Amino acid sequence: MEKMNRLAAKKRKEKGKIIIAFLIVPLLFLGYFTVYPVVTMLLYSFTDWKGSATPFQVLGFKNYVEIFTTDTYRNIFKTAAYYLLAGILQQLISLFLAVIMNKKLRGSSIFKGFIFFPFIMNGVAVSMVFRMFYQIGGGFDVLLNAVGLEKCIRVWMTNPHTSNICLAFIYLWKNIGYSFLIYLGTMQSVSGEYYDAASIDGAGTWMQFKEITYPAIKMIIGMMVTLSIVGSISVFDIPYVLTNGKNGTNSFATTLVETAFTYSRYGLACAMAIIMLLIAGAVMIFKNLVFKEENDNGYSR
Amino acid sequence: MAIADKAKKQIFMVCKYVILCGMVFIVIYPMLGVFFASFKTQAEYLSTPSMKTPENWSNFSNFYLVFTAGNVVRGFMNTAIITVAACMTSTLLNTMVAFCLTRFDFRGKNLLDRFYMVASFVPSIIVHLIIFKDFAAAGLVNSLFSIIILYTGVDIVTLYLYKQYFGQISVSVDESAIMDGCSYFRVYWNILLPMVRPAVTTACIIKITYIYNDFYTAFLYLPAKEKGVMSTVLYRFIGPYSSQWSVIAAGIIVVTIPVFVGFIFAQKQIYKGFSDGAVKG
Repeated sequence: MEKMNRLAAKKRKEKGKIIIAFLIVPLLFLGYFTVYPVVTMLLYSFTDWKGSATPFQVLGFKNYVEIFTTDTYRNIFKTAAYYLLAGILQQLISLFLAVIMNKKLRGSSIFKGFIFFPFIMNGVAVSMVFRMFYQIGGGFDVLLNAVGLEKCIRVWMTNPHTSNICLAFIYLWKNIGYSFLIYLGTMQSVSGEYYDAASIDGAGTWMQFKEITYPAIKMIIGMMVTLSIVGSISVFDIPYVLTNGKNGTNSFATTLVETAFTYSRYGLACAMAIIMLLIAGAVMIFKNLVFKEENDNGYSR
Repeated sequence: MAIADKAKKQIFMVCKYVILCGMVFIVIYPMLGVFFASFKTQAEYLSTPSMKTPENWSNFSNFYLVFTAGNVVRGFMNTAIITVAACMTSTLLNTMVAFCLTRFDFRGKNLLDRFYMVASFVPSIIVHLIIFKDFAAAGLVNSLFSIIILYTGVDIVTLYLYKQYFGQISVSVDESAIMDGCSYFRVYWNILLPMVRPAVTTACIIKITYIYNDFYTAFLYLPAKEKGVMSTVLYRFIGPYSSQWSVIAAGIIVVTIPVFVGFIFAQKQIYKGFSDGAVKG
């Protein structure tokens, strides 16, 4: 008994040591990579800090007002809407594809591979592929010519009416494989017996989807939509590589980089970052609230 | 009735294949133009339609340029170093935190949990506004070491993944090892870490893909030419070769080939990695 007590005391001391040893670096990282920048940005967002040691003035909410009243900055919300729309389309199409492939299908692994591959492709490479694709006389124009739509051809990337649509399509093209994979994986974890039983009871494809598939993937859809919203404000490589944020294609991220690192208007950039953070936070909290009861077993995000 | 049913089924089947083939076409078509262009000479690229096959399939001069002038080998080496190092540090730190959070009760544990959750709301793109300033002031820009630290940083998806896996291992495993005289460190290192190996694979696959594809961080922190990684090396092609699209096309192909090869060989693990990362993370 005494031996047990001694062991317990020794273990308690050891426990304290190992917790400190294991957590010190992660804690420093957590503080330095999230808490510190967020607090600093919040403070600087009320100033005209230029990123240098020169003194700055406190502006109050002037930066925030500027973002919501200046056309260039207001445009980032419009751009985000295009990507958000692409994100929603992505969910619908990938859900549809996953439903198609959920049942046994010859050659499905090859189709799966093709649909998924763009997701793991390098973002800059994808952007360059489409830079060539949308060029005058590029693949897109060839395609339109082939189907007799040559009247529609225009200079895709410099036309503000088409540039964002073209860019959002790339975003859709690249990311569809991810949501498709996740939906398909979740659907395939549902036992086939349910579908067989439903078939015998005379349930059609739509009924089967509504009653069996949808409940199983509801949470995942919520998660994917959340990711889409956050993704639509974080998109950087696609507009940066294709248009450098010109012609009305500046996204949250490209504008942020330009404002801070090109124009040295750090105060304003910080305000933009805080708005981004608020949007992301609001979406996540909303999602957690909506899916709370299903998420009771701990690891909610 | 039965015949009509069968016919209906067959029509459905044909529709499915038509849709899927359409998807494959949408995926392949834009890349096909790039593939053709990479074998064309500059004059040929300008004078022929973009979807026409190249005249000479053995014209590797564009690829030659990519390798000699484009810094691709250096970029690949840098990417490999960063990826391997960041996978190791990230595995180590995140499993350590997961171990503490699932094994021990201590003061501030719930607070820490909550902090990690709040931190997961922060889009990583914005924190670099402040951190980059610090790194630049400290002279840490253009160092592979600093970008490894940045990629290790705070990775909440990975952490939750490990927490999930550690949580599934019964505490009685630890207890019996401790009875046998194991220290906590030995429990973590020799017993639990080997048990969560599937999670390590998953986390590393996600990490590797993320780092290989990331442009933003490398673009900011590694601006020097000799510190290029795959995405920045490719991006810098736009400058000197801005009108030579056939060379750029070869660059795109070269950057994509390693991913393609990796995908062919590790398809199953990659699928599993991303599914697990999303569902369990």
